[in-house]
Amino acid sequence: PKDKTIKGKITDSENGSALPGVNVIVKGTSQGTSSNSDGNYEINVNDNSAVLVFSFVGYEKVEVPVGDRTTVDVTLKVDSKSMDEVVVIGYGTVRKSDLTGSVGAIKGEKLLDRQATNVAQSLQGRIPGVDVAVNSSAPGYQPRVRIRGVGSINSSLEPLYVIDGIVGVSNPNLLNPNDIESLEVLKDASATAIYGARGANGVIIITTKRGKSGTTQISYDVWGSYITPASRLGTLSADEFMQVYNTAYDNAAKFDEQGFKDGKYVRNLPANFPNLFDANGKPKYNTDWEKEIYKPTWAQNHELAVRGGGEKSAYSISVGYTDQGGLMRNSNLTRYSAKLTLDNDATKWLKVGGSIFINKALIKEVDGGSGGLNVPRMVFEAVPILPIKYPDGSWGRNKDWPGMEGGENPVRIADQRTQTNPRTEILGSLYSNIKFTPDLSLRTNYSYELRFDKNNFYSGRDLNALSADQKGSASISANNEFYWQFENYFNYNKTIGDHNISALLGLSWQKRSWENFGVTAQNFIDDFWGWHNINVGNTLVKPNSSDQEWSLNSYFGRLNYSFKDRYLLTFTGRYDGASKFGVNNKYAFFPSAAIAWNVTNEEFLKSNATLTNLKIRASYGKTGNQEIGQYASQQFLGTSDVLLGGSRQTFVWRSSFGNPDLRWEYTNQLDIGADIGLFNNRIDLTFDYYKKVTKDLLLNAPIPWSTGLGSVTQNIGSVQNTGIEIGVNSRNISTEKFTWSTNVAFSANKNKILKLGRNGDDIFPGPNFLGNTNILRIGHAIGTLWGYRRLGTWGTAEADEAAKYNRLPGDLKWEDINKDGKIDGKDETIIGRSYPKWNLNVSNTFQLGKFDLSFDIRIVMGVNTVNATKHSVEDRQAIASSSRSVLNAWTPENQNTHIAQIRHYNAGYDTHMDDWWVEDGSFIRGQNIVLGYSLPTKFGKVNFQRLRIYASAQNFFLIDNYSGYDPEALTGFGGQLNANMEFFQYPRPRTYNLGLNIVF
Amino acid sequence: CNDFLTENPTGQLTTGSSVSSPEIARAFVDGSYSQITTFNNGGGGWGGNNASLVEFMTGKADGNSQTEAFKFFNLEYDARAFYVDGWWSGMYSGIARANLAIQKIGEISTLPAATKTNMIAEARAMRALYYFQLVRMFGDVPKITTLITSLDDVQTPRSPVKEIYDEIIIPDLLEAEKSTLPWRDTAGRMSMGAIKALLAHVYLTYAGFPVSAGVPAYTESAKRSKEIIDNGTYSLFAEYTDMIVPANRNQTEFIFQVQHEKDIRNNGLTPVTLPAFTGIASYSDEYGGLLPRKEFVESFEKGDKRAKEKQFFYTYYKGHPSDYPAGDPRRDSLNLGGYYIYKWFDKQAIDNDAKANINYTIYRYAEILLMYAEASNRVEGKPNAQAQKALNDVRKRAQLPAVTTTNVDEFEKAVWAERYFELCYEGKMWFDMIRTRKVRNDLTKQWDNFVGHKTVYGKTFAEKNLLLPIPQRETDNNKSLEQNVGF
Repeated sequence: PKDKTIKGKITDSENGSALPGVNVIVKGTSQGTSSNSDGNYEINVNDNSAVLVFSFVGYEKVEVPVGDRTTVDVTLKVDSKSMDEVVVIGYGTVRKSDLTGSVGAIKGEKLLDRQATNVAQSLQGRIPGVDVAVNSSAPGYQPRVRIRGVGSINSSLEPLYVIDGIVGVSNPNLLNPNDIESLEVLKDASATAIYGARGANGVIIITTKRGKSGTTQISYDVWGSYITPASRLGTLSADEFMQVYNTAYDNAAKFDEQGFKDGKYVRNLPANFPNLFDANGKPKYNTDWEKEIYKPTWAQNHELAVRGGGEKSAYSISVGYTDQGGLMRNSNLTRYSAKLTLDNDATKWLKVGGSIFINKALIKEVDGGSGGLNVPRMVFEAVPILPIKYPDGSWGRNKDWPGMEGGENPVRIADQRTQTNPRTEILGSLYSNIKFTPDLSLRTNYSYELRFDKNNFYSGRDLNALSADQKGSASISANNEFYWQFENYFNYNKTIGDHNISALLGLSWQKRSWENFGVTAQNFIDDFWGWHNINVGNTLVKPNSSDQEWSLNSYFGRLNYSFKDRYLLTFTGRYDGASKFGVNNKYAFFPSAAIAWNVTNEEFLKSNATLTNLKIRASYGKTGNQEIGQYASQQFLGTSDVLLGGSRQTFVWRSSFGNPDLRWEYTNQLDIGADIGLFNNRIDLTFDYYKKVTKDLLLNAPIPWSTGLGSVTQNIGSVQNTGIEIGVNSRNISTEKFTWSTNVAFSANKNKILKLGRNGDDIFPGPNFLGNTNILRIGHAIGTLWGYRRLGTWGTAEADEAAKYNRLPGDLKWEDINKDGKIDGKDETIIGRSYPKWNLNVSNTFQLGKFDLSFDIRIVMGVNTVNATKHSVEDRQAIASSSRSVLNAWTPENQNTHIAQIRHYNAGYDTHMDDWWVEDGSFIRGQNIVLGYSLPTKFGKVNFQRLRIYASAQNFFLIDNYSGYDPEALTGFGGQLNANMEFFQYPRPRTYNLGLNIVF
Repeated sequence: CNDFLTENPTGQLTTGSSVSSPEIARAFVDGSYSQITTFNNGGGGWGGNNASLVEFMTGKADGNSQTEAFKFFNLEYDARAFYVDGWWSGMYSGIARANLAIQKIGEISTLPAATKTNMIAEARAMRALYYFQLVRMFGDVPKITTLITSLDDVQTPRSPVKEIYDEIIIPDLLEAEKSTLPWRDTAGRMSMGAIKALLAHVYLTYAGFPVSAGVPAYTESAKRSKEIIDNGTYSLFAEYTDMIVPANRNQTEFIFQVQHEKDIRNNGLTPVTLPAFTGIASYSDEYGGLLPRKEFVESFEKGDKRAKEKQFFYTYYKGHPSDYPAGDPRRDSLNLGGYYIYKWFDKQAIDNDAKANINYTIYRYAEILLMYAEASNRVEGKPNAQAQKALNDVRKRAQLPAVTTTNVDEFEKAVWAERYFELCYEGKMWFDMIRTRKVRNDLTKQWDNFVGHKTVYGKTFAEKNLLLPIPQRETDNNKSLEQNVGF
């Protein structure tokens, strides 16, 4: 016997196309390799008795004795039970065909089609029922992820993230998408109940890449991006601004006759401003602030990984670097990450291992301070007749044109007001797996998450309306967080004849604690120190600190039973105890049950060529939500300070009402689904219907102010989400030369409040932008928008009617809904919805020889976006610049308009949340398009498994009716119930990328 | 595993925590002062301030449109209007803190008896102040004198105005009056002077509408104001502008004030009363949130010093150097095109650092003089010499001739008018209208009945305008409340 080299090519039995990435192992050894992008492999064997094992996800495994051959070509057959890919579920894995619950899965390589810098972005549109919306396009912002609608009002709506078994990771976006092996979304109660009290918003399980025994893989992935504004809204030119300015003063006479007579409206005369106007009264400057602030920028991302292993141990090391610029001047994100994993077969019965992941990010943000005169606002409100800087080097500012509200020019703010957010996150895990018998094992893990977040802020001494009143303001806040979990669970798996049983039984302790402090100082003698030496500030604002913790203690179990692979049963239960709840209600039980029927395994369907897979599933169960703040059941006496005797005096007051009966919010969910495979599973269909009813809603319910307090967390209220989800996976064409496949994800959700508060009254949850903007009302969806209806403007012919409302022709005309002759709170009504009726993602992938092309189209329909920006750029003039829409304001010649006649701010101005602000937020977005080319895999002596270059574009088109930058928007309003509301949003970029994947 | 799940909050006391130090007793009492900030803070909209509500109601004030002043002077306000929430919740929050203080101080056994009495006097006087504000704004209100701890007890119904006076406001103040608090407290806490001033004002109001207790109440009122006058602790400032000098806070004429300190909590009413966007101040925001009506200012008696430039009002100022380029004539003098209130014009803040360092006054000596004049006139059926002197001391400062009438009605109207002029925009005028049900007409200078009075905005007061609506949110969450008629 002597070593010899076997070569061969692996192809698909159906169309003869090469199969890259197929695992080839010499049976009984740890020796292995995988095929390159041409489907070729090369492996050394000891002798002719060697047997090669070829395996690949979705294909039947093949074992081939080598004999005296040196070339072994293999064709692999698509596994007619290709469902047999393994799916990760809570505390274990299951064959897809044995799955009884609703679980969406996506493999890591699929995620890499897009140049995403975080997990949520790469998940967007992939899995039916998972709605990912970008909150802000500023670098470093976390997208908002909702699974199957909005099931809560005061508790968090974010799904539970489990990364490599670490439950409840607070920032899943710390992961570089390159590091992800697979991602599973648990949607129904059968799947999520194993996470009991934390499962109600759905669970996202992320498994990262680890080393594999017997292989070594070195990979380098790199991409660079050019990021450019997807659209520009345009601002008023200097001449247009002057025209609006003068009109505003002219019309003051109409709207404030007395004030005009009294000489209240004295406009600036260009002749008095030789620094801004030439001798002919023409503006010297014409600054386009939008262009000055939003500029194309660059991003790059690198990941280098080495993964491999010997007979008894496997390892992986990966390092990553991300540098992402923001469209807005001076905003960016940099991130360094490193990860190490180790898995060892210590003995025949003991396996131990662990991992550590370190992430260090620095986010620089300049768009903070929403609502105030911040950068994105001043882009539209800075006056175009001003320069960025005068020839003498001094900054232009709105105050240079007297009578302006006084914001600074946005370039200056971006330079002199910064917020940096350094973060360090460490995720670690240690585990052992003890095999008592081939059927029974015990897994133990101790995992932790450490977070160090800091926020450094400085706003300059001269920034009018921001920090000039304070003569500069610096603040530093820091948060240290520690989470640990200790979990032990038994796994039992046994097949007896036609019966298969697998069982899980475990217990868990979890605790999260954090400490934070913050300090602010003002009154600096120079901007030099910024936040770096806060001691220089002469005025110290009272510092603050706090520490909090919560804990969970849980017992969980699951039983799977299958008979003849046809009838499947799953029971899951978790008994959770939580510190957050009242002394009377610490523990609760969350059970679920599911059944599934693999109809295709029945005799009558066995040889059916059309219907090659049919599984019908149903599940029902209960999960909980505990994501409210700590200590909500306590009656606190808080401290604060009151000014007496010229200094701060600490006082004590009753700060929370407390509710010792506080208990879990829980969701009962019914899911009925089917998995269908047609034509040898060339078409896979997944269909789910669900109905989720959340009860005992943890509501920060208002109580009468006469108690001295405003609200108390109570378990009152109920909300229902019903929906359908359809997933289609189709290999339309599959030949040796050309393949085309289509993937469709569709979901529709209907949300309805069933019960609310003690009396069922409407609740106005805020954000209260000039009055109420959102309403919670029984029978309506969460996120329902509230305000007036704007009919247009009063016409000249309606002067008498307008007078009854104290209005003049040219004023806004709102509908007097209750017909009482005045416009007030009683004329507010439902004017929109902020969650979509349905969304659809269609992606197509083509493969032609060495070229691959794919694109994703995302469609979101039946939703509104509130363009609250109109409040300040369209509804008022002469104290700031305006949006271009004021050029369509009411004039005697242009009466058919929704924009009031231009007049000076002081001459009366109407502004209120109304249906003119509430716009159609539906859109069709070209999410991603990518064209790749796989190069020949051999360059000289170097043999690559994969060598692919690609070019891609994201947000490559957008079809919408929205008047702002992008209908998928949210700014500054924080609360989770008011999605899709913006006040000067950060524009959405269009991104062009060039990338390279190398694996060898 | 119960210990593992037990919450041990480290940063906050709970109602069950046992506390005993004298300092923490002080902290409970100081809590009852904390909501005094409601008087000139908060409010809705850009440039809104709670203080503006009762001025907008009079029809003698204006604001910018974002303050929604127009809703009030057009008499179009409803239960969801700005400010109503702020006053209701602010006062009840203060009451809850006073209730907590009264209960907790009672439990702390280490305090000397006299300290305990004085501390409880402070808390009860503050509670009376909060309730006094509530009954005058909303009429019948929920009567709450203890800490509410169970969710079954949160829906308290309204109690009649008279019951609130008889069972809370008056007994609280009478009890506080028995304390040994000093006549003046320059830290801004309750003093004997403030307690007597409150009693004088409470009884004066109790004598009028809606309780109409008449002469016995006038008698009690006059007794307190006379005590303050006779005591001699307080006196009038020589100049009106002495009141906007930070050094004079809590001194001389001032009896009880909301405290401000420039680097801790500056007075937000200063920028609110600046003319909007004129560029006269170092403030980033010049709100134009509360301004006087020209008709009112021009209805002052001829020669009244208070109506002269930069006494109570101003019509021009210099443009701020950061707004006007050198050489622009507006940098020296800028016509503001109308009257603006000068009562919170902290010159230093306006010219330099945008941090107003002057207090907001709740009671000052001039009002004591006028209360004595009014109450004693009613008790005796004619003004006595001290009453005449009291009124004329106020007029003398305004460089106005003495009032000499001895006719009870004429003298009373003279006092009422004097209150308008002297105390305008200090949160008094509206409540005078409500308790007297008379309104001085700025155009005719006659006294109209409240119901039927037509304001300079062309709007007519009706019966329903005597009370503000209870906040919608409150009636939504407390089903035992009945809304005031007409809302």
